[in-house]
Amino acid sequence: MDKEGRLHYGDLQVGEEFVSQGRTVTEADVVNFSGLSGDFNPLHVDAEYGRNHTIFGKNIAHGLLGAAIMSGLGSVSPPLAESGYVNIDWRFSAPIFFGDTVVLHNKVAEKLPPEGNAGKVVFERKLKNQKGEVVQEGKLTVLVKV
Amino acid sequence: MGYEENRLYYEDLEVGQNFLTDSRVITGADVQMFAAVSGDFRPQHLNETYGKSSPAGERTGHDLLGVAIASGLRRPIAPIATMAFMGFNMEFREPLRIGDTIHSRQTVVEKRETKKDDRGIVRFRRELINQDGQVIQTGDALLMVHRKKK
Repeated sequence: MDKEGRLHYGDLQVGEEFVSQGRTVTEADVVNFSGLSGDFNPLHVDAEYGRNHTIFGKNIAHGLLGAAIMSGLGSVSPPLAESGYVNIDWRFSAPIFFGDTVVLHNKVAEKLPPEGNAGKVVFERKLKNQKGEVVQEGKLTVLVKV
Repeated sequence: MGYEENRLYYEDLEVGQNFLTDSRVITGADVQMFAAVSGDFRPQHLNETYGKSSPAGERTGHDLLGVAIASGLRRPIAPIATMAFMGFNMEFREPLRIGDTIHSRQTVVEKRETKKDDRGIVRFRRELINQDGQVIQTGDALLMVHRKKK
């Protein structure tokens, strides 16, 4: 661990799991994400469409808003000395509805041998809602400093 | 024509079909806003001093900001009748730099029917390309798409 409290490659143990604080996904988050991304799909922003024309019966948050929140919760749980993401493989298993509260379960799945001053670490991440259901899950590979 | 009729359904999409989206510049404001929405305030994105000593040599945009923007870039085709976004994978080859003007090349690479006859699964290859023609992100997005009502 460095003086900023960030974990380095050697601090991470395979199998170790970090659980984040929760975050409630609000309609404001959805509107902000539409404005930022330009994705104004009626699934997310049209209440009448949400009620009458979706398989969910109401509006849902953008899947990628969930992924963005996953990265935010993961950026402090745990804080890492890293130089960026390498790749991601991410599944939207269930919808996130306005008002749902999500928590990130972030597990160290694999450490690849370091190359130079950094090594790839594969995290298995699950975003769970207030009922404990997995709404999103997958693998994120991060380049972590040695 | 109403919104529902003007959309592209599963049957309208063909493997091999591809198109280029509009372009958009990535600004520092986009990066601040992505940090605000996501809660991801990592220093390589928010701290100019830190960014200067990083491999990119400057603070950069979040990789997932690139994915988010690619999903919202305007396409030269009618809206796709998306039932749900099922997932994606992405390889982050190059940093997303502030000042980059990016567009996306999207190709239908696979279609498959499901047990339910009101929907099908379509896999799109999505490549994020900068102003120099460099592919900075590449991967697949999996969409569940409505089929035409019989």
